[in-house]
Amino acid sequence: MGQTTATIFDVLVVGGGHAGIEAAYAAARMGQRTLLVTMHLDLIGQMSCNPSVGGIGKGHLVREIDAMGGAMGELADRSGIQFKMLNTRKGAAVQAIRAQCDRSRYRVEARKLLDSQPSLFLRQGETVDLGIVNGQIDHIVLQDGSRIHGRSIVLTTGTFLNGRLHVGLDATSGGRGGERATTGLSSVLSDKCGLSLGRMKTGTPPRLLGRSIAFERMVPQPGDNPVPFFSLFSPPNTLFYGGPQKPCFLTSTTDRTREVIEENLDRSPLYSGKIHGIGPRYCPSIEDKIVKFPQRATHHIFVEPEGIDVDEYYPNGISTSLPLDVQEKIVSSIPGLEQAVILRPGYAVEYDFVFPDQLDHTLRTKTLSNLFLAGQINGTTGYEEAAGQGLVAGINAALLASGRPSWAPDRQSSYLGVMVDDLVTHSVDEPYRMFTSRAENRLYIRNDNAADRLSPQALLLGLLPPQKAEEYSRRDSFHRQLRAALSSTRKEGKSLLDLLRSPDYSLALLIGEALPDHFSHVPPSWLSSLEQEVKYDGYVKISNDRWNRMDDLPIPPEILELQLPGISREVHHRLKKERPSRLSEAQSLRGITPGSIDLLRISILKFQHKNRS
Amino acid sequence: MEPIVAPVTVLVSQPVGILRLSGDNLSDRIKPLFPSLPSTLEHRRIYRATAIERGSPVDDCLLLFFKAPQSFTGEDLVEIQAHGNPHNIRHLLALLHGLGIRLARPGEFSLRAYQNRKISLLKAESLHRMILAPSYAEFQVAHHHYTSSENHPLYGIRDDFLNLLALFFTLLDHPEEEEEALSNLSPHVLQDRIQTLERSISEVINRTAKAKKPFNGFTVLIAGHPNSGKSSLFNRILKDNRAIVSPLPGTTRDLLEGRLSFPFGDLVLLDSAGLRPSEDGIEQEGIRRARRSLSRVDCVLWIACPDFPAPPDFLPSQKGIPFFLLWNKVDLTTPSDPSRYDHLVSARTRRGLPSLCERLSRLAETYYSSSLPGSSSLDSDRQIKTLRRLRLSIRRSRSFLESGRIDLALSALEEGRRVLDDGVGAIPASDIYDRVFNLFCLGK
Repeated sequence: MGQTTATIFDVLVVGGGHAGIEAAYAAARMGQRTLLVTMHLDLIGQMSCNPSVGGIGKGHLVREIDAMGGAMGELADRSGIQFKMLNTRKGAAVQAIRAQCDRSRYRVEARKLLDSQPSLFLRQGETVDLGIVNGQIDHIVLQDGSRIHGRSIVLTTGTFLNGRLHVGLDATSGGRGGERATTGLSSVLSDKCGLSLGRMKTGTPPRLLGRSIAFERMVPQPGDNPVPFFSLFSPPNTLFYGGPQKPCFLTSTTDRTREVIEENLDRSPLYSGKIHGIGPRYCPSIEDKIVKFPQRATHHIFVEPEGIDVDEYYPNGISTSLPLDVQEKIVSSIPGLEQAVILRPGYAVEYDFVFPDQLDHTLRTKTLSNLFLAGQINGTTGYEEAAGQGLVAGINAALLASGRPSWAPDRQSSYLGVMVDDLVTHSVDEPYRMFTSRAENRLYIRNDNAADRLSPQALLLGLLPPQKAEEYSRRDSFHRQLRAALSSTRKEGKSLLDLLRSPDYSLALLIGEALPDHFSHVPPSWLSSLEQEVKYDGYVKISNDRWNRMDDLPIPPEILELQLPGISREVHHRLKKERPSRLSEAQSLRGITPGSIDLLRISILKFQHKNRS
Repeated sequence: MEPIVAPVTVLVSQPVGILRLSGDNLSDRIKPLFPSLPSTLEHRRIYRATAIERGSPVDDCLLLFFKAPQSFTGEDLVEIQAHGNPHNIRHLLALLHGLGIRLARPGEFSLRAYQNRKISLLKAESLHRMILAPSYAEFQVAHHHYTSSENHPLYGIRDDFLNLLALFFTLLDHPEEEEEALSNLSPHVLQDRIQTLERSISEVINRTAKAKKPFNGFTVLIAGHPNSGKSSLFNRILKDNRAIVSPLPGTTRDLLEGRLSFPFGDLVLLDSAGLRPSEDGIEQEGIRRARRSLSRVDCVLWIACPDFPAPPDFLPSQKGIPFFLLWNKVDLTTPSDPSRYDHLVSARTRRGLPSLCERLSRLAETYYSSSLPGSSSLDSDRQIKTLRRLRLSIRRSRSFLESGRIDLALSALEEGRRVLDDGVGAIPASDIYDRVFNLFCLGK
């Protein structure tokens, strides 16, 4: 078969989910001729679980993706029907946005965004094989026999690798409800690419018909006003349909729900041993919740609208793989859902994933030098985690294709860095989800300062289009002017900047009293981010100092040849093999405990001392 | 690591003397001394072998072999049982030294066990406490800590601390849970939990501080001016009671230590060579040292003599510990006012000594029966320091929590986590997440 320009690309992205979108979009923004191959073009950007984006930790990721010029924040803003800022009473460092989205609108917006990129192309087809030449992927092979060449490849196959759907004791092959799985690619990854694979599972609840739900029997959960959009650059002024936000509704399980589940546990694929994959503990099925927390009388259910054009609802909290007749009984045992009609049954899906410690910090596999993996294939769960990885993999696929040095997000300054570092350093033993508790430097990597942390890097990488770059620099210079004004203006013998550090003062108050009016005529997010920056400054410094003091020691290569008191043979062996040049690097090695880092630090200090005297 | 050796038994004449060796490839090392040993030794086997020096046999020995890493130190470990004549043992030590096996420093076997991750730092400290325990009751406490880490008070605190961290993680990462479980997860609940933890840390610290010197036992300080006869009294009491004067230096360089072992526990006698008066009475530094010694002992014997018949003003009734005024050398002179003195003694003639010793041993017995060592006291000063630092970060966390800044409160707690990492052993994140998901039914 001849190689035409239609079959030669810089970057190939396999998969059109949230990871695939970010990977392809990033590579295209960086000027690479990019092809996104997916099994169904109409399902690009499908939200296969609940119709919601963000949350604690996850919302932080969305903000960071947005600061890097990525898609997810904008797509959620353009398809959102309800927005909320979470944790408002717990400190700015742990606040994050969550949005309910219109499921079909999200897909439309994703497609529009990808179509608008001049160097990005789409192709429908199932990838069945990878052609390997000289330790690199040369091309991918589609089911119709076409070969497509790329300099670098990003695989984002989600739950489709050997996907198996379970409803009751019936199991069928499939990647998502109503969609078929990819069956051949798993063995290509293990046999041809030398990667080791594991198996995970996740699940969804049945979807319900709106007009059969008694909403008046449930508690409405409204969104916030003003609407907290994700986008840092030019957020929309209104929701896409111009109307008010849609509420969610709160209800809960009953004693009857428990009885139904207990009576039918033998028909659950989870409890009859048919499902072997590891499920996420933070997304348990309703049967798990009943079995593991028998003392708990009720479990809450959030009934979420699927969109404005469809009368379909997602009862978040009763994910289940019990048979359909049991699902019907569960639903009818819940206040407000007594008469509810099931539109689509809930199911559990089992799928293959690749243990992510076989990747480096750019999400490139250690076995094939131009293969990148992102999303659920790496053992994570969630749209946001997938998108974040897609961004990192897409950037590095583009850098590799254009012969530029790679880029890895830093653990100390982003959730993206925390996630990638956790994955490739510690691998996973259950589906990985982002939490703020995973980030040591939580006080610095906040929702409000994502642009300050990441946009400068995005500019260097060429990820921000001119209009966003321009907006970032306006925001940045505004911050500098305001900061200068705050530190040069005095009140009660102190500078306004010092006053602002105290919890008793707010920026709005200080501007209103002591600064020219023009400072208040900017997007509110510009003001709040500076305000938090000042308030957290001192604490961030303390925590940074500690890290620097702890981390920034070079490891003299000679020292690894000496006896290192307290360091076990295994650790010593690993250090000798990997030869890290700094403590921070040693820390990221697999199997190196914090205790051995401390011992190594002591040995280095002693060594330096001895050499000096 | 380089091979080391230490005598396990004291160097006195006795039927058996034991040497213990640890290091890499020990069987190769000792082969020249015991040529009859097979070339590879089996784990946990006993070998009978003759030590040979330049072709001639020097002693018949039993050798116990433990193969790395299944030994106490994690290295090859050999115990040599030889005939317990001290000259023989010294000669064997010299022969081993010739094979490049040096004498171990104090505590080096435990240190290696710790370095090779055979025992934790806590365990090493419990072991140390076990060995030095001044009474059987103390020994039992230390052994209780040693056999199971759950028995250690630090572990209880660590456990409560991790549960607290799990609550914080849950509160911050699962806001939807807060709405559901308001009763058992709110800043208020956290406040209570933090206070409870802070209290139990303080209790452990106080209890340990009250036990003062956790494993030194009932301590008597002999003090007085030079030439008042302190040292002769010290030696006489020890000798009459057939005690072994401890070969270890005392707690400070200025003190000599001796131990009397009674069935109920040890009586530690300290000879303070350090209280040196200058021309104009006792100099400041001397007073400071004396005061410090006094604050650490359980009883003081002040020796008066004709030149200095009264104790200095700063001495009496320090913190209510028993204080006895002694008149020594009563065989030479008698005091003008005998009723001022608690005991009239003579170290030379032993006069008055039996009743003094009787009194001291009664005091020691009361001490051991009334201050039964609680299993909740700590093993070392290092552990006290760890808890103090932990308490500091918990207090900071509490004050942040009071002003509603939960994110800062968590960061303060995480500093505490590092303190525990250093002091007790690393806490993996998965440990905390396990607690999060076992405590709450999270997620939708």
